[in-house]
Amino acid sequence: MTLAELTSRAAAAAPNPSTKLAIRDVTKIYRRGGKELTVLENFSLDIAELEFLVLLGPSGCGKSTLLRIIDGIETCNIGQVILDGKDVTNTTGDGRGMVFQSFELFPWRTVLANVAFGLEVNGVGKAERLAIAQEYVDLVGLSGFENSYPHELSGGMQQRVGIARALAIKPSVLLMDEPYGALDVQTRDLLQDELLNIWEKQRKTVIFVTHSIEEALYLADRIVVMTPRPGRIEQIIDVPFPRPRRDTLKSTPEFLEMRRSIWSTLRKGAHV
Amino acid sequence: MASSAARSGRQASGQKALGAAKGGAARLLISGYGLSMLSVVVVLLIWQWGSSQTSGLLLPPPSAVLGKFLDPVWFAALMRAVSQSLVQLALGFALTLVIAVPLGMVIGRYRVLREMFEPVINAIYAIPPVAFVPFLVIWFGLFFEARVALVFLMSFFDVLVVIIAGARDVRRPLIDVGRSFGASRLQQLRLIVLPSLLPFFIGALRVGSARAINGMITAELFFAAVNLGAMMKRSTQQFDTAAVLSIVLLICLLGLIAQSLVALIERRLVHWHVRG
Amino acid sequence: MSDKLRRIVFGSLGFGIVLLIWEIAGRKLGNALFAPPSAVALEYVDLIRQGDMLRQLTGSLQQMVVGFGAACIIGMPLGVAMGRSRVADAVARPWVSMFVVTSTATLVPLFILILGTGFALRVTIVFLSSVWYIALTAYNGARGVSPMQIAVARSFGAGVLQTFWKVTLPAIYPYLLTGARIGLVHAIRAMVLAEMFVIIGYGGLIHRAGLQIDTAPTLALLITLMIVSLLLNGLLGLAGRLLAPWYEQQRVTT
Repeated sequence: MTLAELTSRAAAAAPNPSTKLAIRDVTKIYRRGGKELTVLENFSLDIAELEFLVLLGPSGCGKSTLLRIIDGIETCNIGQVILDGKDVTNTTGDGRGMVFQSFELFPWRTVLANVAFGLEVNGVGKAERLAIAQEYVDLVGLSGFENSYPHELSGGMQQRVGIARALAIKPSVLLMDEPYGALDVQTRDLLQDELLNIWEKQRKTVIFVTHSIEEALYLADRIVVMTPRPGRIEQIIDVPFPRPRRDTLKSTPEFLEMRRSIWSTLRKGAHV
Repeated sequence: MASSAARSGRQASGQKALGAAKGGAARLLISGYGLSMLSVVVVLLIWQWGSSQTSGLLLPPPSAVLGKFLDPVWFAALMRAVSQSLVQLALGFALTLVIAVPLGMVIGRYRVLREMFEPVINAIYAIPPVAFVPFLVIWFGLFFEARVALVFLMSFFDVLVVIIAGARDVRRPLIDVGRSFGASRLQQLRLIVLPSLLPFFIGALRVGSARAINGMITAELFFAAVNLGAMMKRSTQQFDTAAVLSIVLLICLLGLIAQSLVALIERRLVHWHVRG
Repeated sequence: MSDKLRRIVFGSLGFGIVLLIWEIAGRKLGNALFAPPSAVALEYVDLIRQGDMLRQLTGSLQQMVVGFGAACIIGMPLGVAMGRSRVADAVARPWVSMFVVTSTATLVPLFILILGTGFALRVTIVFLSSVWYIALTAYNGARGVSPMQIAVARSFGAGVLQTFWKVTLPAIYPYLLTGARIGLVHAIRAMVLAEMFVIIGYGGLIHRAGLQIDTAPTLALLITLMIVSLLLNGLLGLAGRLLAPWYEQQRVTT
């Protein structure tokens, strides 16, 4: 398929007005040293309002790249990202809040100032943004650590700051790029429960990237299983477990069975 | 395997801590300033004893150097000279900072500029700045302007190289955070690039101030001898080694004061930065 | 375009731009103020033909290498000892931090009084100006050796000496190399400084060239100095890669 054909296809696809976020025919090709690597090809997906969507796949399947394209910090060669009916392709800001894998807090800012960052960038006055930031510091359970610096916090606490920073701008969609990938299993489990708690309190559209099947099943309404080179949708799974979910869910036969079945799907495309 | 290694590592550090605690009074001497002080005192004593065995003309005893340094007339002359030297130091180093910091940031932030000018800068950096003295004489004469120029030249490239390295190494993911929240280029510069650069700026101050002091005294010796340089030349001609050493001591103190000032600024400005 | 090609193309472009600006400025200002590259190139051929430049250069470099070699032999073990032993650190620290901030230029008149103006002076000045940087870089490396790596060696039953030779020293190695490269820069600076002060050797040559009306000879001498400095630095890097190829990509911060 030629580039021109792909472009015309992308333009032809009209977004469905009932969807929150529409990804239309997104293609991403890296060029390095004269070589081309297609990371995503013709990727389309609709995400509904208040949906908790998980992008699941092995490393290199383009799930993080897709998330970064949705956020706008990475550009796509072809395709569109439409948020709330507005074309936001290859732009940043505008209602998207991102939580990064290695936290990426600003080491020179206190917890409170880190959380207030997005508001500051968007021109919110000092008193107001600090008051809002305080709310979100409280929400993620870091009251008392407002004036600590990131290097004084544990990994789990740092990622809570990362989440508060993204939530503080009241994003229309929350993007989370393997947010617990750098944490140990216990912290990870705790933060998953915390995230679900926060999410029950403040319902939001979430797109969450992970390579952990268990994490995906525990958190998601819907799981998009991706396979690599180029990244495409292998399978879309509706997760039937009722909410609010508790940790005990992870050891139920239904959960384990779904986990096994997704694993066998992923395994087919796995190259070790 | 890995966990057993970790365990033995913990054990080793635990034993070390225990051993340190047992030391008691001896520990104060070993781990603190005690031993450093002792080292200074012992060397000075050996030096004092050594020069009392010889004529003392070649290397006067430390008591003579200190006596000269604290001699009221000589001390007043030293202070007068150094206060004038500091003017050219401040001017030359300020010039370095004003030019090298923005220039280093621009070169460091843009890959093309870096690839174009880093090799050239490294090449010029390889030339000892003092070798430019004949040029500075042609352009600036033998007096104040030439001295300022040498202070500038001797500190400029050291500062530039550090700032370029800092600007190059601003973490890409942190810039991405800024972009993700919709920060403009100016906001990225102000809120992310500049704070990231602070530790490097401190590093540049540390290296640059030492080089600038070096330039200050080099200039006074290589151009028309004035201030401290003149005092040094005169003392050399009179074979007054104690006087020469007292000037060396003053320059050394000046260097130590500059380093302490930088450390003070560092504690104020970048207390969030964990070195190493 | 590959990264290597990019660097070569843009690097040459950078040199080209600087040379062009220099040529234009040089022609405007004239040889007496700032000789253009074209004039310097002509002068260069002359200087090489006369042979004085290269003869003085070899002589000066030999003395520099003696001082620099001594600085490595003393500075490296000193720095490692300071980094691995608190006692050594406490004993040596006040001296190292005092000498490292003391300008080399102030030491020259002092050592002229003590040592005269010959071989000993230049070797001593070169030694004193580079040894502290070599020691401090080695110190940083020795301080930073990962306790985990040492623990691994210990858990395999390695003794204290074995651990030092097989783990600590290889880990410090890149710092020793970086220290040597930093030390070399200071050694060359000190060599030129001392020689310009007593008007001898290559530095003396620069001093005398500076007295002429034409700036071309001075510039030619500076360019040789630049080439030599870059060559020696490259040589140290090459030696490092041959001795320990596994460290090629490692970057050392000081």
